[in-house]
Amino acid sequence: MNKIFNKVLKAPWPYWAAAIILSLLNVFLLMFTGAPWRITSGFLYWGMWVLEKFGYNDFAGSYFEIYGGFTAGESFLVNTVSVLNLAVILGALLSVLISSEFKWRRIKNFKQVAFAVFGGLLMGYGANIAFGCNIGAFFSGIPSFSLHGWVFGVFMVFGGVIGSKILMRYMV
Amino acid sequence: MTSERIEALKKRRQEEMKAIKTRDQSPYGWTLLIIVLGIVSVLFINQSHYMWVFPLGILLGFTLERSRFCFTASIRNPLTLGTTKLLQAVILALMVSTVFFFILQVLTLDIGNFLISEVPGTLRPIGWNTVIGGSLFGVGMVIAGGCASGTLVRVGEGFTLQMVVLMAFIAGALLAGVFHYSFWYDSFIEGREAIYLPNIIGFIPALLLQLTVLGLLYAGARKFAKRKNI
Amino acid sequence: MKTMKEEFLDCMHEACPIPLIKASKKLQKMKAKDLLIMKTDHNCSITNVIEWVDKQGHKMDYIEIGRGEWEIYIEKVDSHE
Repeated sequence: MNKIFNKVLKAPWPYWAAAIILSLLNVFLLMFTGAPWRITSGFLYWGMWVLEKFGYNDFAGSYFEIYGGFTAGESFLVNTVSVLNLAVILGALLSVLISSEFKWRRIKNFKQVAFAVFGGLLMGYGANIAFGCNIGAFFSGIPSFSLHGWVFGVFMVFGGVIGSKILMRYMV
Repeated sequence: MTSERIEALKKRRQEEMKAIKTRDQSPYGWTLLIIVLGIVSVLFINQSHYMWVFPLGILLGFTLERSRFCFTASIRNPLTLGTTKLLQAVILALMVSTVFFFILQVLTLDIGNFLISEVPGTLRPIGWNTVIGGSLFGVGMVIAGGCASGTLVRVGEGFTLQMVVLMAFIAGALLAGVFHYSFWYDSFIEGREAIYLPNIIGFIPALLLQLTVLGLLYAGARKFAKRKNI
Repeated sequence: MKTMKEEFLDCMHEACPIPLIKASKKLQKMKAKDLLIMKTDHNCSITNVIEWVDKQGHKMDYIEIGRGEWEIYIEKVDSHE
């Protein structure tokens, strides 16, 4: 019995099953919380929260100033997307611990770090000017029948092509 | 599909592994699960603002991790390896989500008499910010080895490199969302409304069109994988 | 008698998707019936490798050799066979 249970949990879940589960979860998020899955605004929130702790508070004209969602001095956990992001991390951690696959994977060399930083900066910048990332703009935008999701998706693929060329030339 | 030689090697390794004690982490996992269930219970009892967000997020992270689902790989793998199973899965997810979101929207809206701001979902205007932002994101996600969701999952798995990606992501977000945002907002966002497909061609046509396009992309992805090159 | 080579590839601590790309490049240079043994600590390597190996027609299996570490065995099958 234990063996069967472990097989269900240990073996990778098939992609098509995950596709259906993720779609269901997204629509549940929409139904029960009023908004579908998004990630990027949570990262911006974390950033602004840290900036504020360091004494910076000139947020005039910023994303949250226009759309709401950030108040100076409030806790790390007040923003919904912030909690959602932490829960996703926790869910992944739960998954690896139960299957004994957690490993503190250290960094190998500086080249990795350079590409990680460069890639992260591009993602953070791009997602914030485009109203979302692969989840907020693409995975939630397209099913919402908003054309911005498609436009984002097309150019995300375009960017992916360029990124792959860079990958194959400099990173392998 | 495996071979005799491989199975022999594997058996030998398995014997070697039996001698070494690898620590079982599942007790930590079950403990964490109990804590998570405890938090969820407290949230529900208090009818907290986060009572759905938290458990749904946990399930999202769990599902992503167990299935090794990766949006970055769905676009990168066809180009570098010629495999498209992930891409097909992403398209499938979009098709299923489309149907679910459609049903919700039709049930919620007062058809013929609603504002775009009332539509359930993520609706945003389009501009050069979308074009440039999407492109930058696409390049970044392949170079960083993971997208936004992938980064969260890898952080949970223990990848220190993705913690670096996360910090850089936040830095990029601050640059765009705080320091440069006025430029983007004034130039491309202010005053524009989202374009909602059913408003242009009607609800049923929108559903059919979107499913057809996605279906064609799905078929195209399957065909692409059959080509033997790369 | 034809000697069947065993090649090793250590991809621990590599960034995604380096392990599989390195493996595919190495396999290109190997001869039929040669064996590639690779180590990785990316769990996505398993699903990626299975998919790619199936497509190329090679034979493979894998085993978990530690917490979050895997050893993957790939035997090259000549596409002209």
